[in-house]
Amino acid sequence: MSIRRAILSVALVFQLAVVIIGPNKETYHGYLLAPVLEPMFNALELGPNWSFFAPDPGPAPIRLEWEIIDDKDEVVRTGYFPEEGYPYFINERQTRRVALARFFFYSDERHLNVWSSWVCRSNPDANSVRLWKAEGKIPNLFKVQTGEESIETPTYGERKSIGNVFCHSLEKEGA
Amino acid sequence: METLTPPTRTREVVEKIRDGFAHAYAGWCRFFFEADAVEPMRLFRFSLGILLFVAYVIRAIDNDFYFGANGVLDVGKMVENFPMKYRWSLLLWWPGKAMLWGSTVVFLVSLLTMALGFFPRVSALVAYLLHVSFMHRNMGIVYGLDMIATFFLFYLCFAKTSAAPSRKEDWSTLLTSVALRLCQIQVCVIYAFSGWEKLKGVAWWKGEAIWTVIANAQIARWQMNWMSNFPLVITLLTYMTLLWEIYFPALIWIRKLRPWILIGGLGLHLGIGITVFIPYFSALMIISYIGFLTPDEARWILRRVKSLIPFARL
Repeated sequence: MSIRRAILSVALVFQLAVVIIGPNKETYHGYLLAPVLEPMFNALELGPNWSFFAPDPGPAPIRLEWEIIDDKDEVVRTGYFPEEGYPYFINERQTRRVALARFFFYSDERHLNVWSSWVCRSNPDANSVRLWKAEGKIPNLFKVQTGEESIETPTYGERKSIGNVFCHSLEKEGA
Repeated sequence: METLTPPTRTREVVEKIRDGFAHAYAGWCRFFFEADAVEPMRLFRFSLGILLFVAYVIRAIDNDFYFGANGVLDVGKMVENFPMKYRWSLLLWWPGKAMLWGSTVVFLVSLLTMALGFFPRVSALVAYLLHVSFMHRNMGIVYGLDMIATFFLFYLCFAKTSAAPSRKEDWSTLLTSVALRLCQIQVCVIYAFSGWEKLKGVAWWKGEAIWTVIANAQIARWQMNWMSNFPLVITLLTYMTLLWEIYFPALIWIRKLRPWILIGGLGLHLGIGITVFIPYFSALMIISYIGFLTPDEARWILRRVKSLIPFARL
C-alpha cells in the first residue's frame, strides 16, 4: 500500500466531509463536527449553502429606502437602493448591488446597525435617518396573460419600517 | 462431507471482509488517484482564470464602494455585526486605499498568470487567498459566482497542470488527479443540494418557478410578458430543471449518458445566462463541465485555444 495514497486518502475523507457537511451545517452531524470543520468553513470559506433559486426563486424585487431628517425633525430628502432598472452599462455591477440589498433586506438588525452608518456617512447634513424596506411583487401569470398586469419596473407595495438612527450617535460610536 | 469448524468459518468471514475492504480501497484509489487529469485541469484552469479575471475587473470598478474604508461597510460595524469567527481579511487588518488597490492588482494579475500557465499553482494560491480576503471584507456582495470560485481556486492550488501527463506516481500526479475528482464532486454537490432544496419550494411543485424568475423585473434581462401565453412551456421547464438538477449527480457518472447530461446543463445555464442578469455565474457552471471532458476532448480544445493565444502555456 502506497504511503502517499494513504495520507492523501485521509485528507480526502476530511475534505469530502467539509464539502458534504458544509451545506448541511444545521443537522446533527453538522453540530457534532462543527468544532473540527468550522475553522475550515470560515477561514477558507469552504462551507456555503448551495440553494440557488431554492427553496423558491426569490425574493420579489426589493429595495432599501430611507428618509434623511434634519435638526428640525423635517424630512429633507429620500433615497433608495439599489437604483431602478439597468443603470450600468455592465449590469454585473447592478447584480452585486441587488445582492447587497438582499443581504440587508433579510436582517433588520444588520439593516439598522450597518446600513444606517452608510446612509449617515453619505448624507453629512443628516441629523437622523429613518429606514424602511420595501418589497414589490411578481406579476401573476394569469393576469399578465389577460393584460391586467405586466412585467415592468416594479412597484413596491409592501413597506416595512426598520427604525430611526441618530447619525451623531454613530459618530460617537466610531470615535 | 467436510464440515467447517467455527474458527475456520470465522477466518473465512474475516478474509471476505478484508478482501471487501481491499477491493473498495483499490476502487477508491483508482477513482481518486489514477484519473487522466492534466489536460482537463489545464483547460479548466485557463477558462476559469479568464472568466474570473473579467468578472473581478468589473467588480473592481466599485472597489471603493464595496471595500473602501469609507465604503458601504464600515470596518468596525462589519466586525460587530457579522459572524467573523475564524474569518480574516487583509482589508480588515489594513483597511487603507493602498492595500485595497494593491490587493486588487495582485489578485487580477494572479488570475491572469494562472490562466496563461505562468506559475499556475502559486498563482492559484495567491488568487485563492486574495479572493477569500475580498469575500470576508464584504460578505454582502458575495453571490454564487464567488462561492463556487472559492472551491475551484482552492483545488487548482494542488493541480500540476504545467507538465505533460506522467505515469510516475509522485505527489504532483496524485494531487492533480485528486483535484480533478474534487472539482467533479463539487459540481455534483452543488446540483444535489440545490435540487433537494428546491423540493421544499411551493413554486417548484406548482410548476411556476421559472415564471417567478423571468417575471422578476429586478433580475430579468428582458420583459418577457409573452411567455405568459405559454404556461405549459413554463411548467415543463420548471420540472425539467428540477429533475435535471436532482439526477445530475448520479447520471453524470454513466459514460453513455454524460454527453446528454452536459448538453442539458449547457441549455439550462445558457437559458439562465441569457434571461437573468447572472451571466458570469452561468459561464462558471458551464466551465465546470470541463472536468467531465475526456483528455482527448480537452486536448482538442486546448490545441485550438493555443493557436489563438500562442504565448499561453496550454
